[in-house]
Parts: sequence; C-alpha cells; structure tokens
Amino acid sequence: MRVATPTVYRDIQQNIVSLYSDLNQMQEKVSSGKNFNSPSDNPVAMVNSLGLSDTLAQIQQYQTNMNTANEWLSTSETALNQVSQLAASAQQIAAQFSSGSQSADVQTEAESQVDGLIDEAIDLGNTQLNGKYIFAGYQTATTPFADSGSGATETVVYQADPTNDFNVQIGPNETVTAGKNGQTVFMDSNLFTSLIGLKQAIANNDQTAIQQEATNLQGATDYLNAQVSDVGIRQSQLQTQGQMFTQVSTNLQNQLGDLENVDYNQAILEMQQKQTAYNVALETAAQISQVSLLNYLNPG
Amino acid sequence: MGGISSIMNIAAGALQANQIEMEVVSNNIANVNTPGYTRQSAVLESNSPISINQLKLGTGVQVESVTQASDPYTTQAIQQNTSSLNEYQTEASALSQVESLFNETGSGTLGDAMNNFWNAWQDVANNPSGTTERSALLENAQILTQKFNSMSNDLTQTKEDMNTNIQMGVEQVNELTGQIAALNGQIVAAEADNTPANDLRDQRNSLLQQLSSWVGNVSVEQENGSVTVMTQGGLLLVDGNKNYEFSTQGDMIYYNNVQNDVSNNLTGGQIGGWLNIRDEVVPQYQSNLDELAGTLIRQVNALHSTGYTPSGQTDKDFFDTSQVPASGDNTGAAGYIQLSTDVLDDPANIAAGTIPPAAPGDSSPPGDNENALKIAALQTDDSIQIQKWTISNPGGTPSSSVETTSMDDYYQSLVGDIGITTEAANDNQSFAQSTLNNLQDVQDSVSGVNLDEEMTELLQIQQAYEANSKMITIADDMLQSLLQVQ
Repeated sequence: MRVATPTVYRDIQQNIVSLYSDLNQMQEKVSSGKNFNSPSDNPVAMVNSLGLSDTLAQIQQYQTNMNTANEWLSTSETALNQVSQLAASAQQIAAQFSSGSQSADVQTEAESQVDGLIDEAIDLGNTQLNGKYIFAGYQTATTPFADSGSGATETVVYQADPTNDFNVQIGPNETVTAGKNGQTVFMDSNLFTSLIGLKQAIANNDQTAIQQEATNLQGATDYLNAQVSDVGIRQSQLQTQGQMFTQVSTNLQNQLGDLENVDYNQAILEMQQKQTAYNVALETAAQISQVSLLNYLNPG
Repeated sequence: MGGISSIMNIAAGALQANQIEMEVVSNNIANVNTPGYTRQSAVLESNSPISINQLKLGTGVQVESVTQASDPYTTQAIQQNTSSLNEYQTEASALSQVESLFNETGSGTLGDAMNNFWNAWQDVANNPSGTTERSALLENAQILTQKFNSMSNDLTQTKEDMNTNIQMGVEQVNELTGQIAALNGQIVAAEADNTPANDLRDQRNSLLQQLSSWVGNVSVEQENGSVTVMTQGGLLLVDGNKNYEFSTQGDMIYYNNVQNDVSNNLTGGQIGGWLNIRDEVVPQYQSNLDELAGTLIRQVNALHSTGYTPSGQTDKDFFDTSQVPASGDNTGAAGYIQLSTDVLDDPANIAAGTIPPAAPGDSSPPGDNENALKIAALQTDDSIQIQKWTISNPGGTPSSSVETTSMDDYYQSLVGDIGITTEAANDNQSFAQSTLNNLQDVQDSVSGVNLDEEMTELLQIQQAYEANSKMITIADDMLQSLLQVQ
C-alpha cells in the first residue's frame, strides 16, 4: 500500500499515545494496589466486591449486637445463680425444723434469715445493667419487684412487663432473647410465695407447712436452675454464631482481597512489558524520522 | 511553419509545463501536513499536431488540468466514523462524571451511608431507651438523605451541563453549515468552466468532517459540484448556497425558526452524544435513584408510623412525607428525601417500639425495641418490590419493570449498570478510534502526500526542464550555424 508521509508520523504518534495510556493504567494499578478504581474498570468484580463488603459490614454490626446480648446474658446468669443458691439456703433453714420444733430463739433467728433472703432475692430480681432493669421485659425503667404488705398479707409483687422479652438481632433473620422478663424467670418459679410461706410457717411453728414449703423451694430451685441452663444454651448459641462470623469474615475478606487487590507479581511483569513496548516505539520513531530520500540528494 | 522556431516553441512550451508541474509538486510538499489536503497532480497532454507536407508533427506539451487524488468513498466513511467517534467520546467523558457519583471504591459513598443507616437502627434496637443511639441514628439518617440529595442534584446539574454544551454545539453547526453553503456557491461558480476547484473542495471536505464531529449527517454531491447535507434524521442542513439553522430554548432545539422540538432528529456527533446523556442515560439513573429513595421512604415510614415512641405516641413519620404522592410515584424522591420534623426536632419521637400505652396519655415501655428490629431487618428483606427503569429509545416513553429484591441489591445493580454502560462507551470509543485510524490510512494512501514520491517527481521534472533548456540552446546553436552560412 502506498503510504503518505503524514501517515507514518500519525501512526507513530497514535501508537505512542496508546502505549503510554496502557502504561499509565498499569502504573495506576500498581501504585494504588487496586484492580479497579471505578465501576467501569470491571463492573462484575465491582458489584461482587460491593456485595462482599456489604455482608462484612452487616456481620460487624451483628458482632456488636452479640456483645450487647452477651452482657445481658452474663449479668442474668450471675443473678440467677445467686437466686438459685439463695433458694437452696432457704431449704437448709427449713431442714433445721425437720426433726421437730425448735426453741423460740432458733425460730426468730430462722425467721429473720428467711426475711433477709426475701430482700436479697428482690434485689437480685431488680438487677440493673447500664441503668436498665434486665428482668423487666420492655419496662426497663420500672423497678420490677417490690415487697408489699406484712405478716399474713405479705406478698412480693411484679410490677414490670410480664409478657415481652428483650431480643437482639444476631443474623439476617435470627434474633436471640437476651433478657427474659421477671414474670417468666422469677414469678413463675413461685420462689417468693415459697419464701414468704416458709417465713410464716416458721413464725407459726407449723411443721407440716414448713415441710410443704421445703418441697416448694426444691421446685423453685429446679425451675431457677433450668433458667440458668437456658441462659447457658443461648450463650453457647452466641459463641457458635460468633465463631462462624469470625470464620466467614476471614473468608469474605480473603475473597474481597482477591477481587480488589492487585497481584503485584503479575502487575509488575505486565507493567514492564508495557514499558518495553513503549521504549521500542520511541526508538522506532527516532529511527523512522531519519529515513528520507532528502538525505541522499545532493543540495547542489 | 516548422523548423527551428518550432523546435524553440515546443521547448518553451515544455518549460512552461514543467514549471506548472513544479508548482503542483511544490504545493503538495507545502501542504504535506495540512489536514484534509488532497494530493494534486498536473495532467499533461500533448498538443494537437500540425500537418506539414503530409506529415503530422507534434507541437509539444501542455498542462491540461490539475486534478485531485480524491477518494470520495473513504472520505464519506471518514465523515460517518468521525460522527460516531465524537458521539462515543462525548458519552464516555460524560459517563465518567456520572460514574464518579456512583463510584463505590472510595469512601463516603451512598452504599456506606446506607449501611451506616441500617446499623444505626440496630444500635437503637440494642438500646431503645438510649439517647446517644437515637441521636446517632438521626445523624446517620441525615447523612444518607443528604447523599441522596447531592447525587440527585449532581445528576440534574449534568443534564444542565449537557444543555449548555448542546447550545454551543448548535452554534457551531450553524456556522459550519453557513460556511459550507458559501463554499458551495464558490465551487459552482469556479467549476462553471469545467476546471476543478481543488482547494475549495478540500476546504469543504474539511468543514464537512468538522460538521460530522458535531452532528451525524449525510452529504450528497450534486452534478454542479455543490453538496446537499442532511442530518441522519433527514433534516436539510445545506442545499446549494443556502443553509438551515437551529436555535435552542431550554431543552428544546428548534429548526429553521419553527417552534417545534427536533432533538430526536439529531443523532451522532457530539450533539448526539450529549442528547443521549441528557435524555437517556442521566434520566434512567435519576429515575432509578428516585425509586430507591422513594422505596426507602415508604418502607421505613410504613413501619415507623405504626410504632410507638417511649412517650406513647404513634403515627409519626420518620421521613418527611409532604412531597410524597399517595399514588406511589417516586419521581424526584432522591431530591426531596429528608427527615420528618417530628424526629428531627426530638430523637425521642423515634418509634422504636410496637406496644401501645396501657391507657391513653400513658407512656409506652422504654425497653420495647420490636419496631427498631423490624426496621433494621428491612436491610436484608429481599422481597421488596422496586421499579427499575430503562430509557433507551430517544424521546420515547421510558419502560419499567418491577424487581423483587432488597434495597441493597437494587443499589448494587445500579452501580453495576453504570459500570457496564461506561465500559461499553469506552470500548465503543476505542473501536471507533481505531476504525477511523484505519480509514485515514486508507484515505492517505490515495490522497496523502509522500515526500519521497514528490522528491522523485521533482528530480524527474528537473531533468526534463534541463533537457528542454538544452533543446533551446541547441536550437539557438542551429540558428547561429545557419546565420553563419554565407
């Protein structure tokens, strides 16, 4: 094909410009360390990486939520354990009367001991975490348990939320109950009625009633222990979920890295290839410019 | 006649022809780098012979004409590709701006803002009575609404920039068609005596190519040498020495002073590219961004308004609804999305719970986080129906389909779409560029000047010139010899 003089220069120019643009792109890749710097660089990888970082951000939030749930559960566990031990102590007091009636001193002493246990149980039922009552359902600002009346009319009343539990989201469609309401945990155990019953039976020196309350207290202890192990189950559920999230996070981060981060070995090799091509183009341009018939014609 | 004087006349005529040839070569060399210049050559023709004593004797040479080595087919192809290249270039550069709005590789993006918004709801669910969590939610929600607003503004601004560009482009087109019409007149006049008006034609071709860079067109040469130019949509731009002009008013482009929008008849070139961006690309992304913002408003408000605040109040909007039409139309939502004054005035008006107060006037339980949990779960709810718009036919009605997806996925697919569109525009641009380069090489191979070739020709003419000069010397010597015969 016949080649016009400007064609040669234009082709050289276009080649150099396009090689330089390629080289520049590779340099940008290597210096930023990223495979793509805008959606159009690689739309598919971009959307994938968006999805991955989205999931990562969600997992991070679930992990934060799980911390909250763990705080609630471990506080509940401590309180429930103490209440359960307290029920056991009350049983021991009742056991003193199994062999028959005791002296008035022992009786008074036992009565005040049980009274103390009642106060302690109420305090434990009113456990707070960051200023909120944890055994109050949704009514976290209401003191759940209070002693009311005295003597034969003494009762412990539950004045907070009797139906709802505090739930925390720990997965896309998964929540865990972090705080059960006081009605479920304490009132349904009949702990308070048994303690008050025991106190009145001791005051009345009523052996049969004392034995009856001792049996009731055993029931309450069992119930409370079941609550403790229920908390334990939820804690281990959180632990499993947490371990899974850590593992998934690591996987996602690796995948994200594979997508986003430049493979330096390959990128630098490619950059060197482009560099060579660019240098050759420049040298060729210098060579070609020297070729002309004019060089061989005598001026005179 | 004949004899020695005839020899001298022939040689003198040849010298004149050689000089003209030299002039043509010199003009070629001078224009070696002139864009649009077509190589010219002198066409030599031997003179009519004369009859002497039954002999037919030649009478030398003359330059019959100076012609162009033109290649009309390639020239036409170059014009068309120039308009495609410019269209794609314009689109690619405008798209890279639009793309930067959706560029999720950086920070402070809409995707980040959405994630932070949903996470803030989870924090409220973790501590529904916490004022810090409530304030943080409002702050994150405001960052999100402002991000929507600024993206919507930037897209609108892009459309306005396109209008400014189109106005400038239209002025250029008017000027170019005016010049082409004027050249038509000059060419018709100059070629009336059948001598080709080479340089005027080069100028006109160059103007036609410039015109193609602004708007796609078709040009047809008439027998008298003038070209008739039309847009690809069939509007007459140049007819003989008359051109038809465009004017603009807002979004409208008027033709020949008729108040009727002809935007859809203009395709190709930079104007075609700007129109595509203004009427298809930007409106599509704006509509889809509006759908996302509108869906967010409706979904969050639907849950929020049924929830209860700690003080026992209900029917509170989270996002402002004063501009949300009941019809379900989300047009403009990304622009108007903002928090309701209720929650903005008091974070306590965030309805995190679902339990009504025991009696009217009472408060609701402060630990109730059910509504906050429900709203936070919207993030991963993939059964939400969102309209997705496609606008691909210029000036035609946009079409939409309903997608069942999550808001996060919907946004991610928008980012993917803009990436693919921009990538395609970049690819089209480089393809059109390499096609045009090839065509230019083809055209150059016919019409371009090669200096080596011109130099060779120069040597050839020079030699002929020397020989012809020699002829005159010899003829002169012959005449002297004759005069010395005594």
